[in-house]
Amino acid sequence: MNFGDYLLFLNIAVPVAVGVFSLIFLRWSKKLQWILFFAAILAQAVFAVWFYNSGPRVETISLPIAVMNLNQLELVMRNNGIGYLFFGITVIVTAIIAVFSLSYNDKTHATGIAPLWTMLMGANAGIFFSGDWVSFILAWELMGWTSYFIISHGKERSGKAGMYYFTQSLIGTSALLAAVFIGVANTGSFAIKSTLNFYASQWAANPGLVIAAALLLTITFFTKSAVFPFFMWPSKAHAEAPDDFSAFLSGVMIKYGVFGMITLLLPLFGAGYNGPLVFGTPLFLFILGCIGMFTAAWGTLHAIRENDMKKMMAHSTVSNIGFILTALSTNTAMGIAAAVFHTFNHMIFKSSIFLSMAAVKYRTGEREMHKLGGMAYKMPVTFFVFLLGIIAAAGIPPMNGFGSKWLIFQAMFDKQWLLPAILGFFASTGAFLYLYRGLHSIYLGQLSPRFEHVKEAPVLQIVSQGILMLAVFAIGLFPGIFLIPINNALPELGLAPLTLDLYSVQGSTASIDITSIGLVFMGSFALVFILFLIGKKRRYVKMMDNYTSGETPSDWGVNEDKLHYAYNFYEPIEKVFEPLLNGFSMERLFGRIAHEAKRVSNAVRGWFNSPQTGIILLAVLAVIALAVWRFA
Amino acid sequence: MKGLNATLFLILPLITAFLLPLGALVHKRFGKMLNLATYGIGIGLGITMLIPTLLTGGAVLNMGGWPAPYGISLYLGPLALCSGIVIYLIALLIEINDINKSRTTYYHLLFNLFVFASIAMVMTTDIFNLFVMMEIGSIAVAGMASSANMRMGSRGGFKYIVMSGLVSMLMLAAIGLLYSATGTLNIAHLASRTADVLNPSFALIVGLGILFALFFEMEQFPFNSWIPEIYEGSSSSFTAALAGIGGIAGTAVLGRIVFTLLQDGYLFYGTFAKLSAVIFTVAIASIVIGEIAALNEKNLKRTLGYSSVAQFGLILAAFACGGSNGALAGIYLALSHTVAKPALLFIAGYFTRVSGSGDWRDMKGIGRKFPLLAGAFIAASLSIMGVPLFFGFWGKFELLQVLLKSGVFGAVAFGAVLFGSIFEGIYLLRIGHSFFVQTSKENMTRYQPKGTLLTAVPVLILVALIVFLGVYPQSIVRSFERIAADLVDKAQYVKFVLPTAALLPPGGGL
Repeated sequence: MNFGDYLLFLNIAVPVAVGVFSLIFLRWSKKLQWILFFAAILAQAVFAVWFYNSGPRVETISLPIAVMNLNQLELVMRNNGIGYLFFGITVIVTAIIAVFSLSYNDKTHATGIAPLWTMLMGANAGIFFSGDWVSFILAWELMGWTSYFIISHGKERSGKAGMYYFTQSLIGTSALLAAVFIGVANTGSFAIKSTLNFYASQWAANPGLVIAAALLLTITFFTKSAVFPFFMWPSKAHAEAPDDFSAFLSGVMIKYGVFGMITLLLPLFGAGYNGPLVFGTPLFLFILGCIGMFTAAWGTLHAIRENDMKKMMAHSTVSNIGFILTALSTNTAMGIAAAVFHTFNHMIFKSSIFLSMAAVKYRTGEREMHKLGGMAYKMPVTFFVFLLGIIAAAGIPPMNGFGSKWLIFQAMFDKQWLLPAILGFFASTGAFLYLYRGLHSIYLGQLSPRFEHVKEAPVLQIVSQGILMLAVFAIGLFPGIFLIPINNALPELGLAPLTLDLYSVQGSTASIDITSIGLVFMGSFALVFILFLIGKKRRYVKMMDNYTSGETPSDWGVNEDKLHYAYNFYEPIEKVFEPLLNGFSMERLFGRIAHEAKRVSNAVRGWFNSPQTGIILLAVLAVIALAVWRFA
Repeated sequence: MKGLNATLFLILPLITAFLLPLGALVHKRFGKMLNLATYGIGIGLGITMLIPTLLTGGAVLNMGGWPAPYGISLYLGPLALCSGIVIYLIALLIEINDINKSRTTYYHLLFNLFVFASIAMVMTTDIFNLFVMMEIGSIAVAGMASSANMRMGSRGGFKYIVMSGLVSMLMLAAIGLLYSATGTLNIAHLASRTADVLNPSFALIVGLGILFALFFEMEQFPFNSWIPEIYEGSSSSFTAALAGIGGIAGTAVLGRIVFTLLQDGYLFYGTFAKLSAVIFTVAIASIVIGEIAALNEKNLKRTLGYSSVAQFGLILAAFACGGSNGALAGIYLALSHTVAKPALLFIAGYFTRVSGSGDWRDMKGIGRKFPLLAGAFIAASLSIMGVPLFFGFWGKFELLQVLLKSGVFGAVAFGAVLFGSIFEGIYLLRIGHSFFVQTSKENMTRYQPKGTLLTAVPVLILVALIVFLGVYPQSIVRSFERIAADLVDKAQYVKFVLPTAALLPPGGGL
């Protein structure tokens, strides 16, 4: 056996093996577990960079397992285009997060999730490389249960959040299995491509089947990517997961659904489609697009009223996924490029935001925003990372979120999806509100005396945040860093590439030179800064003096904590949307379903205990007899 | 020599069962030691016969030298032999787990009888003989169920014996009818009949009578109202026997009846579709009801009991599909369940003992004290859920394949399996996580180890099997195919059991 022929498989097998090894044998040293974790990801990242230009690879392992008269089951890995790109960016971002984790998991904060996370990285590779359904299901399920245990990480509250996530994940997995096995039963092959081709060719003969398959896949990827109506799990799971893992969860893991939709769902709506069209888009995809924008707006509204910083950013992630979903639903080259571009951008800026918040929590132990405040004075670098992150999240140049959001709106205009676009503008503007709330409540405002001795985050944490910050900046100035590789991968999806270069991109209504715009923005910042420097000499006063105009605060019965305006920050806005959000609550619906499931479960258990089992037995026998007599 | 080996393979537990009361007069631990030796020798005998059997297809033992269909013949084919080895293996592991527990001699006696009955069930070629063995097994189970001396177990045992009485009655009636119509009860002989077809309604009644007894054996709804009491009230090693040994024996017998007698036989020509509809209905109901019942169950052992109901439902669904793929799927599922469920039950029993409560919510953080056992619990759970890299995946994989090719019932069962696997994941992994939850110091000091090694050894053997066969299924897949072929290949079976084409005595008038 030549290992060189199985490099893609090794990208899965090695992390899984390392994870299992460290889970079983390295329990005595969490430090060592984290180092192994970092090493495994670093190896993946090196692989991703090393083989960047090596061209497509296909690797096959044959298992002699009899399945439906096939004598062999072929496991196939291939690294063409889009999957390789996703793999590369995810492992590099994860490697950066891992640097943070190395420092974060000290004696008091250690969570012991490193081995499982290492295994999860194997699944990560599997999802992006799989060329057959068996490997894909393997990776998908591995990702599911490892992430459940990571989110739960031995805490009762987290366990509940994890179970909320995992339940939806299991529903998604079952839907995936259904879609896969129905396809395989018809094609007799486990190759992903042949199943997709089969479905795509059935629009004329059996449209119901294709729509059913599309629905099942949609459920799978909606649950994973937290699209409405499954949008509530991030606010629980991201919030309760270990802080460093939240960055991965929100930045990387939630994108598996996006990848799935692009590579497994969209191909069903290829040239063979002959169903109804809306604005030149298949009706199914148009509905997905509307759901996407609704999710964006809905997530924003939820984020605005959240006081917990991790929950707020989780809702923000949901909102961004909504944008991505709408972009890819257009099913055009521009839309898909915009979706992938925004996915990568979001991966970077949301990871940086979560890491910055994790650093704050590392030092203070708080995650409710009204208990924080003024952290910028104590943790300036962390503050700066957060600031640039939210500028990117708001889609303002010169940060990377701008270019991708611009492209998303261009893709919508191209299809004349005006109503979704309006919702999109609403969501995008609403994002300013919660992002600013985060900035103000955590980093600005009054510093509590409790945090007088807080220090800046440790070096490794700064390093990892800094790298992400630079990336946010660099891609904001030169969007081609991401757009050119994405553009090169488009033809593999059967799409014509866009017109773009390192600095600019051609949209549907206009073209844009993002670099110039970024430079203009930076120029104006520089100008203001210069004015600030050459302006009149300033005198620094204590913040408390500002508020109380020099009076002694204790005379007024106030202290620093009372002067930090953060609780119920957007009360007026919350009041406006409260009836809507409370009246139309998926949370309540799911709660209801869970409650009913428990009741049914109790009823069934009651049957086993009831003294009338004999009567029920006879009744059931009678029903069986009747069924056999009438129907069989 | 070969004949002797085969005979010993069968009756070893029967011999030792009746040596036990004598030996107990000499030494109190005689029973334990003798049983360990018995099962060890049984495995050894099985393995010596395994390779020739897999190659040539097996051997036939004619009791008293009377060839079939006149005497009782025992067929030692790949299916029977492998099931027998697995039964001995599980029995051995159960004995290891039980070494330091105080058991009466009678318990050991009954346990041996149960093992013997199970092995005889998978080997016999005679339906009446099968009936007798099932009765012996039932009596042993009812006796052992109350052995933990808890009210719950006695109640379960009583429920079990009532239900067992009902289904035995049905089965006996069916056997009587069948004999009146055909004049023979030898499975091979019945299957080889190429002349007459039974009247469809008659065949339906006969088929149902036999199947109901097997449904009972496989813990299927609605014959399983005894599940919660027996699983909760009796010792965990006994429930491991019920789920592991009873499960594999039930599967083998059901497979033999379905594939050899019902599916292709001329006797039941045209009736199999209806019978398969019944099997599907029962299987689907069991899957759904088992998973739903387990969802909100707080008692750990009961949860596992409900999970067994659903798992056996999967096996039934696989066999209802018929064909070699259905057989293969059923065998995969049966074996993976037989490996995983006893491990879970051993751990459940141990944790119940250590924590002093059967409620899994009272076992918080127990995994931090016993990481290996709790980790094994999660691994076995994942196998039961059918997650890739664990043994259970390949069975579920085959099953989903086959179901989609089996008409409307298959499609409904497909939905039920996927629906059930959602619930399975929820209740199993929820428990798995709660083992590792951080908890108070007082709680942790509550958990004092008591004979951990004796539980850990069998559990680790089973989990090692789960992981090895999950990651490297190639190692066993050919044997599985061989077993499935043994199950499906009726002609081969008839050829072995009835060496000379015996003439059928004139039958009844139906």
